[in-house]
Amino acid sequence: MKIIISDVPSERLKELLGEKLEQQPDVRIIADDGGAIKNCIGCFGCWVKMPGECVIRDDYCEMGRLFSQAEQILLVSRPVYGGYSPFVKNVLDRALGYLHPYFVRRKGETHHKRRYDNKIKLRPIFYGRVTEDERVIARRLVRANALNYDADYLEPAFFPDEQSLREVRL
Amino acid sequence: MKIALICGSPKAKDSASEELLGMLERCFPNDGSCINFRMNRNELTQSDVASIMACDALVFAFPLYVDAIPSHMLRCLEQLEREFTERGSKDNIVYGICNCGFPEGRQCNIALDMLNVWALKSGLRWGRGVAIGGGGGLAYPVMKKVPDGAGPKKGPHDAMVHLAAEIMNGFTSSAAYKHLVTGTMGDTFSSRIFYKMGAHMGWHQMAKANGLKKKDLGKKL
Repeated sequence: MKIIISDVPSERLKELLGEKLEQQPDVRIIADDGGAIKNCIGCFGCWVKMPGECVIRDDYCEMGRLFSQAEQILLVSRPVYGGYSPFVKNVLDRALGYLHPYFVRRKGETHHKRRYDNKIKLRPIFYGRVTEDERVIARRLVRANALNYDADYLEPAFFPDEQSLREVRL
Repeated sequence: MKIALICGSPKAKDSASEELLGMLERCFPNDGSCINFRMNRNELTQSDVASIMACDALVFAFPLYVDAIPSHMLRCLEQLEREFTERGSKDNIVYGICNCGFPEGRQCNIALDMLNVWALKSGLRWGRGVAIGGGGGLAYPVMKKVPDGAGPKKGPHDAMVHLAAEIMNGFTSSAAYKHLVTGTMGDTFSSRIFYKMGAHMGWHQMAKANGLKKKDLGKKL
């Protein structure tokens, strides 16, 4: 499955990506359509109360399980201080249960063990104005995220504005 | 001098960020005027925004979430950026303290660099970032009995002493790479093993308290 986490509302995203999206056999869009998404409160309930599942009950409590079915995760976001916008980051924060609480050593750093066997490929797609400093941070961030998830990644792509997301290849 | 101590933890109490700000506050001389703020929701009140903007130094303490700044704090930072850009003074200096649950404090560097970018975009000056590894343990009840500067608190306390002096001196820096990196544990093989064992025991205890077994921690849905 391909998951698209997007701060562009789903209708607008479908309009921008058009046929390219329709041709995808298995894609799930998690977009900022105006509904409430609750914040991760750092309770670790997704590890020690309901392993794998967020204990905050809203439409985003199963992000960890959803990530376990993903081959690729596209992160469509305006750049915010070199990282993802609050909505996209909120979804990532709520997906902590994708990982196991145990520590492992990965490339000289401590990280969390895998809970699942799937290998995700992360693909950040930023649109909008971005400074050179932010580009550098974004590149470092996706490398860190990939190490965190024990995932693969593609270097971030930068598009000048929302309209130019039409050029994204899926 | 007015210093805003802004806690970016989503927790209302007993967070490592709050502990670190408390430790920092105790490092100031009596004439240091600190005001505490909570940034644990998606938006700050207008009253808090005005009070924060009136401070000379802004110190943000927050946990590392997925290698970066937590989403609720990002929303508040964007709110503050709008306010500063529209009507703020440009003399405020920003300092950041980021803690992570991993022993390597350096994993906080990206989040601190993001805060640095926020400061510059808001037209403010950047002071210093402090990265704290193994920060989660600071919030444990048993750690509250440990005096500042002793045992696992030595590294973080030394960093807070250093930071307090810099804040009082109005230290600014243009280079994001100058974050002060420390932690509650040394970054050695034996300390990492000890830290890992302690963390795993902690997860087992919490799971047990919730009626789960060790193997349940690895449940696949």
